[in-house]
Amino acid sequence: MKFGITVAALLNLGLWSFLIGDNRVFRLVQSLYVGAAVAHTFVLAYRNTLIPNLWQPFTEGKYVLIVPMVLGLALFTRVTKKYSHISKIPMTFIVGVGAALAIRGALLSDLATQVASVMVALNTVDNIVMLIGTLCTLVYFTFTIKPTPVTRTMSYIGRYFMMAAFGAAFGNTVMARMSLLIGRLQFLWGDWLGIIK
Amino acid sequence: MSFFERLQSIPRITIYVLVIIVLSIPLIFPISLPLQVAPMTQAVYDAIEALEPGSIFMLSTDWEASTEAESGPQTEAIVRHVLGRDLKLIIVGLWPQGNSATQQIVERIASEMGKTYGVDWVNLGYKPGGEVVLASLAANLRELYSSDVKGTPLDQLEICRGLTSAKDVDLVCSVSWGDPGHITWVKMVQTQVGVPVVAAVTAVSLPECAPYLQSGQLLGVVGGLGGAAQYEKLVGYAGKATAGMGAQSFGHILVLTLVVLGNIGYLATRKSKEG
Repeated sequence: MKFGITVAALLNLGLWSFLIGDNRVFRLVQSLYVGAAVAHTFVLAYRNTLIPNLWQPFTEGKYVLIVPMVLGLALFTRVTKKYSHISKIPMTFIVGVGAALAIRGALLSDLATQVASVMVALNTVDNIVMLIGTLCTLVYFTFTIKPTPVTRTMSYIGRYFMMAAFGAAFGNTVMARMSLLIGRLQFLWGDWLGIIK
Repeated sequence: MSFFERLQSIPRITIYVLVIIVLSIPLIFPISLPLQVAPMTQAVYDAIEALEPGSIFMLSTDWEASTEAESGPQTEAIVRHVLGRDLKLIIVGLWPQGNSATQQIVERIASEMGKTYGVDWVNLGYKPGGEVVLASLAANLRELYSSDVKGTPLDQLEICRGLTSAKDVDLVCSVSWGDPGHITWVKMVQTQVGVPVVAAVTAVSLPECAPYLQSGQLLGVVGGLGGAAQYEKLVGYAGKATAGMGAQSFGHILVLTLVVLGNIGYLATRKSKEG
């Protein structure tokens, strides 16, 4: 039995101890996990991004990189009360660039392509169900028109389509949680105790 | 408390113990259950089969350690297929832990299959930033990645010759657990650059893939542990996902039984209260 696997198995059991109730072992293991995850992310970001994308090109003469470097460092002013307002400058930049990229992608992908994909020939049951489901669900979320018997009926049907979607989401969530537990049991019974061959 | 009232208030700890026992039995004493391959899983397999040997396959490792049970077997099955087809495997990552875990998985499989690092596969590593990273990758991969995960300059890696942007990639597969992940790839690379994208997602993320599958923005999806088991069947080996299928079926039967028992208890007590 490998030492590392035994440590991992004991930490696993420590996390599961939360099922009985909150306790010190659980909090210790949780802190260990968070600490290790943050350290791992920091090392990778430093080695894979900060050095090759910022520091190395800067030292090779790409002095324009002083701008993102200063903006990045300005984020740390958040830890002081006196200068924390400076951190708003890089934050504004990050939010602006992030939003612009996300909106461009969303407009093309989630709006234009998705709307186009609903415009289909009504020659199969699948296509008819999809069109009815899309229209009725959209009507359910249309709050700015005066309800009529037609829109009320469509809204009612839309609710059932959404309930079917929520049911599918719940079923998949149960399946996912089972899968995660199966993975842990395979580790405990197989890798640790050697019961599963 | 009557029997029917008890059915509605089974102690949580009893359910936990029951679930662990029910899942453990088929793991320790394996049972073989028939497995049907879903069309969306078959579509991923077909998309990879359609590529010529030497084509560039980009695997994005967009998952974390907590979903290793699903994402690990999915990665393994897809990587076995890709390396078996002699495709060039380029690994990138929008999440840190999945990238390190994938490195270990691919090292093991490549060693089994006699594949060489830098020639048959390479790991360019994790980059933080989600949409920003993919926008950069779509425009100029060389500016984003100057070296691989080991620090070797891309110019010195045979596999990276001729690779300048996402446009040079023949197929992208995002093994994903959330955002940034498969949807980010669809938004930033499939829609804007036109590179076909397939995904391997956790079961939780599966419903959100449906609109993208329907529209053809995702060519196919391997969903959860079940999808991984189906892919293992297509590739022709039985791994951890196949071994877990019996346990998953038993687990679902237990959940269904508990839901039915709870409802029987509710209906019976409601009837008696009304009476």
